[in-house]
Amino acid sequence: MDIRVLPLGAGQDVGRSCVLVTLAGRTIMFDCGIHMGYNDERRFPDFKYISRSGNYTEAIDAVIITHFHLDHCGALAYFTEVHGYNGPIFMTHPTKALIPLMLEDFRKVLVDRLGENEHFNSRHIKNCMKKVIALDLMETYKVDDELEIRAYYAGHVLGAAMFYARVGDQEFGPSVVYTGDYNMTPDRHLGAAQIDRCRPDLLITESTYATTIRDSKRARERDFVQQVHECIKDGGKVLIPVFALGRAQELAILVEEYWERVGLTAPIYFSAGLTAKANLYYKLLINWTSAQVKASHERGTNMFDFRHVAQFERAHIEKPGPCVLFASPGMLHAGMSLEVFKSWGSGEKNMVILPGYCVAGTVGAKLIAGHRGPLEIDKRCTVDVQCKVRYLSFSAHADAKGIMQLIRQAAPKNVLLVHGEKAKMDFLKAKISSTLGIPCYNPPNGEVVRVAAACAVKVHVSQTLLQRSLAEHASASITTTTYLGKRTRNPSDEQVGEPVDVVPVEGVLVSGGGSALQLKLLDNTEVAPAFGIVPHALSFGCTLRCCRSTSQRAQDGAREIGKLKMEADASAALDASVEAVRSWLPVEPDYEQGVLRVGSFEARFNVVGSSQLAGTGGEPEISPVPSGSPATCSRGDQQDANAGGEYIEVACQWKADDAPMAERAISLLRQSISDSL
Amino acid sequence: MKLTRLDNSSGTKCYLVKFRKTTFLLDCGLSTKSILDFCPRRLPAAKECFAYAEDVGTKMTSEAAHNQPVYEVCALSEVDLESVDAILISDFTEMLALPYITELSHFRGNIYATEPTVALARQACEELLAADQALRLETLSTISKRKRRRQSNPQDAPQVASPSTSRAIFSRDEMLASLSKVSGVHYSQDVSIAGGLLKATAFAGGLHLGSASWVIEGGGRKLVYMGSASLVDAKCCSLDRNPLRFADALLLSSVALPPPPNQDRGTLSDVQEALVRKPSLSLLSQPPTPASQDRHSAFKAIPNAVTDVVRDGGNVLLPVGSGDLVHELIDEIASALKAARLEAKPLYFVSPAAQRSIAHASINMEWMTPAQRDKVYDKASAPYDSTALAAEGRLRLLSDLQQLPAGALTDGGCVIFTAALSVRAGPTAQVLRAWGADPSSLLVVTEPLLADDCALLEATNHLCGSFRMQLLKCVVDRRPTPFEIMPLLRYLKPRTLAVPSELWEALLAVPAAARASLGTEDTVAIPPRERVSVSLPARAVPVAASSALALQVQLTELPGTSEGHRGEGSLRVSRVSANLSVRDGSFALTAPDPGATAHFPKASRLIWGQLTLDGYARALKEQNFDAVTICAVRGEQLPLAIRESTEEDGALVSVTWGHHLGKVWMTANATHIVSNQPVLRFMLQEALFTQLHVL
Repeated sequence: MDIRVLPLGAGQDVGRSCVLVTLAGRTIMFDCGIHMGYNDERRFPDFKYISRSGNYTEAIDAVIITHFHLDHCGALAYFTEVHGYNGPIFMTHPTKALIPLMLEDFRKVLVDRLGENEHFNSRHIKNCMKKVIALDLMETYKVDDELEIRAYYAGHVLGAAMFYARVGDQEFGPSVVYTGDYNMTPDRHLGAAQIDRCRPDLLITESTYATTIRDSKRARERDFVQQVHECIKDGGKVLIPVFALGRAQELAILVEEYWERVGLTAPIYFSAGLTAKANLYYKLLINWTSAQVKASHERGTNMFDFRHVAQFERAHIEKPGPCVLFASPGMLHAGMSLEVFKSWGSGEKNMVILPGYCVAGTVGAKLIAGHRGPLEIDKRCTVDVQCKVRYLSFSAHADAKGIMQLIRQAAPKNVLLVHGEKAKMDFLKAKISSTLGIPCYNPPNGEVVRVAAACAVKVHVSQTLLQRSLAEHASASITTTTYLGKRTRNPSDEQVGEPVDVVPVEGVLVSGGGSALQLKLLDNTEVAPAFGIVPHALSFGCTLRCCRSTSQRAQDGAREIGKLKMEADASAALDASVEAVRSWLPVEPDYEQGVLRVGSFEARFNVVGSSQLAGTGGEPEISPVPSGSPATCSRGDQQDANAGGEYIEVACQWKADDAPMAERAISLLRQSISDSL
Repeated sequence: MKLTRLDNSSGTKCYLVKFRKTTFLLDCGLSTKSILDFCPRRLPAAKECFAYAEDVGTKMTSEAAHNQPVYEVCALSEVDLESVDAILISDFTEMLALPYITELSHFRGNIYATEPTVALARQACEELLAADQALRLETLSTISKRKRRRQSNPQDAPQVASPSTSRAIFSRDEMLASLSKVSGVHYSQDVSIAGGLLKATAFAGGLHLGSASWVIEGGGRKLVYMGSASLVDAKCCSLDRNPLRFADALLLSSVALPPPPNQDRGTLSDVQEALVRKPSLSLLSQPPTPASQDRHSAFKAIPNAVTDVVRDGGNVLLPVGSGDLVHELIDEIASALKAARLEAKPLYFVSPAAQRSIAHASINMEWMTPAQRDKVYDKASAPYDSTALAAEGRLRLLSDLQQLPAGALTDGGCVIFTAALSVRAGPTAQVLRAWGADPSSLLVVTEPLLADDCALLEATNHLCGSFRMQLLKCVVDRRPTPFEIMPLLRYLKPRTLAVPSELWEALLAVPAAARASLGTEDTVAIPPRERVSVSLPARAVPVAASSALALQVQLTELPGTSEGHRGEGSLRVSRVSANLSVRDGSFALTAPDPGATAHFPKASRLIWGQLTLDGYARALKEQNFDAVTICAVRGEQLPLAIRESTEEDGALVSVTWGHHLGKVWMTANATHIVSNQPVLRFMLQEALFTQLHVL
């Protein structure tokens, strides 16, 4: 059974994340984002790949949005309302709360500021959100009888989640994890990404920082506030282009704390109403933030109640004196941040701090690349860049170490990289294949990758068989508790031994019958009653005779002495033979009063003197013995008996089930008795 | 499965379950009813009240064997808590005994509760600790006096609650340490118990914020615990029914019991009647109604009554405690007051947990109904209005009554919410002392326990007329009634239904027509402190077989089976040897290693079919045996191995092969082969197999 992956966006690229995954007949679209670097139709994922008919509702079983960033959700309303996708959409509660803000803001920037045709309107956004089913973390949601999805905490931004999807029952169906963007280190307001060892067949992970290993967070934070402080001291203005949600709040917490500590009074501004509104949501979604923010909320302070922060107005642009401004968008490609940059960019005292990733082609990316002097922003405006530019990687993406860590945690069978630059991806791909030994893929947009998923067959094993198999092996020196996975809590109990977790099972596999399509594995004893069979019992018997050699008897001399010697030897021989069998058997045999029993195998030992032999009237022909002893049959071993000596007789019987063990036991007995006589 | 009920019928819940070699507790409630055993010192005319209360037989006479308030814990001392693997909590009211387990025993297992349940339990504990503290101050002297009197009158000695279950309150540190050990879960989140042997999942219960029904699965069997179900539409997530269906065993404890029948010596209702007869007092008591939805709508009478009183300049006291009810009440009352243009009237929430309760209520929209969530999504406003009211300053949050602004109690038109544990001590008693004689003020009682406690106030009023407040008794119990639970049970279709015995009696009291066709095979009533066994069917366990193993299997048509099975399409079988691995409590089958088969001690074969002597003799002759003789053998002469399985007569087939002898005794369904020569034995067996089916 194959898993089919088709990246419609974010294949060897950052932006317009959209990955189509088909698992056992179910198709899921992970994310539906836009590309910030393009203004033409390349901005949207190429939906034509999904279905030629254009009936997307039929082709897709579920759309899953990992978080509210536009490169992950920007095309959602366009896809559902304009392209007519009508099926379920899943996301976490905060994502559901914040996406309308982001989409509305995006729409406004496009239409109002850039004067473009709108691809979707406010009503579209509202209608789209009605189709959304909000999920809680770790909640297992059954989309239908077969498809099951679960969200894991991803850090990155508020409400960001990694999604696990599986078709069919656990352990059987193919499964996939799509990480979206994630952060393996906690930040000021969010915890680190976490995932179970869910062993998916495929892990689709972002790889933004595939080659970077970032230094300590603390150092970066100190660096950030110090740079801000220096610029303020010189009377400069600090522009921090951020996305309205997430980075803005994290950096604001940081700056706010620093202002408090150092006692600064320079104003801190948040641009536009968007960030203010976002703050309202952040205050209500404390459950999705880090443990520290939750704890301080418990103590009665909401970290998102910023005391030093004021609302930014246009008039403030030209206002003299130092200030700090958080303005969206984060890549300086449009909106308030770009507008402010046009005015502040030429000031030598001023500073632009770019705290996150900037898509190639945006003003932000050009600044990071080290552009100085005149920079044409659009046809009407050119800015002479004289301000200081700092790039601080505050981007809440996992670095190479984090990506490897996540892969180790989830233990996937295959890895597929998206959301990264091709060269970096290739590097990471080689690293994953070599160090983790996991096959890794990084397809470009529009290229289908097929990944083989281990397909297990569901077998219903009967309780009788299960318990018998476990119990049989438990008796062989391993305790049942270790099987059943009940780990010992007491250190002293650990000496019981390594938990053994493989036991052999022998049963009968049955298919068809009353419940078609269900495979049942039954115990042997269950098969006959289940299908109206009368089983035929098969058992065996034989008699061993081991005699002392004639030469041995001659050495013994007188007959009486010989007889006594014989008895002593015989009992020694018996003991030796029992010991031989015992040492070989996996289970402890039961031996008492001359009878050895293992399972259905039974051996009766009998020492027969020649006088007794004479008494029975010579050679005992085959005779059914009505009493408890098994029927005997002796002819092959009778030469020695005919010689008139004493011998040990071992009458054995066993059932067909124990035949291999019985045959081996008999040969062992014969060997050891004749050795010791 | 073994089910032990550790609580007695005092309203708390605690069950010990042994299932698949795993031991776990369901809930661990603490009964605060014993608070009612303590006497207030400073309530008006306390002495007369005692005498009266004794006459009417309410429980406020001291049954205390201690000088301090004690609480009834379930019979935890009878349990080896060290062997308990996990505790599953259904509701915040059912986990207050947790500190006794985690801090004062050797318990080392995991505790699972939903996140809001933990937060609400913390608030409830804070209130309990404060109430306990207040009670100590209020009652000590009186208790000791009463105790002396009791001792002098031995034939009247009350039945002291078993000392093993009565405990003094835990400390605040113990409470905090204990709650920090609880793992918070979400609805529909799977947690594994005892290393994956069982899987437990919480689903919305509907009673309070975070209330959960637990589904515990293992070995293909399903146990459901409904400890906090409600069918009423409140603001928290409503009961999630579908995951609870088709349980092998359903333990149901969330049912509202009808009020107890009248006792011999005057009861609460007598007091009520006495009060009703008294013209000076308007009793707004609601008679108990059968449907919980009705009871819920009766609760809507509260805002109107409050508005009426406030409009007339009266004060209102609502001892409701933190929890989610207080927020619903604040919302309703605030909007009713606003509608009546009385929004200037102050609202106070006096509780050690007030601040926490308001803060917590604003951030839990995930646990509420879609309507509450939409408030957050669409307007970015908190799900409860109480958050905004507190932010605006209309609702003041006070940790105790000392912080109340001067004159607030006397100005009139003041609405105070307090903790709900007792009317005898703490802020509630202080406010009652201030307002008790004022007939324009109103006391609203929503807690069942307080309703009992109010007998005290009524008694006061009846005797000395000093308590003149209006009383609105509107007990909010959103659990379904026995009548309402029937359609739900019919829908859930549990195989076995286990209920506490007193609840079972209530269910039996439901008219037969409503009880009919529940579809349960079995019902188990559990008396207090008793252990019952619930038999669960042995179910096949779904196991993942690797594709490598699947490819090895070659299914063959099963011949010779009875006609009935052949009719149902072909039955195909194969003998399978595999390795069963156990990982995280789930099994997997893999192909055995090629060399490993030698270790299998068994060579089990299924042999069946119609055996004929002629056929066997022919088969032997084909194998070139020298001489084959057949003779009939009487049953008792057959070898023991055969006589074990059948008593019919058989035949003996003797063969010679070279100088070796072989004998085969056979009946229709058994064969015994005897020869001292292994090869001969094998040949005789193979000849037999030509005549029979072997699997």
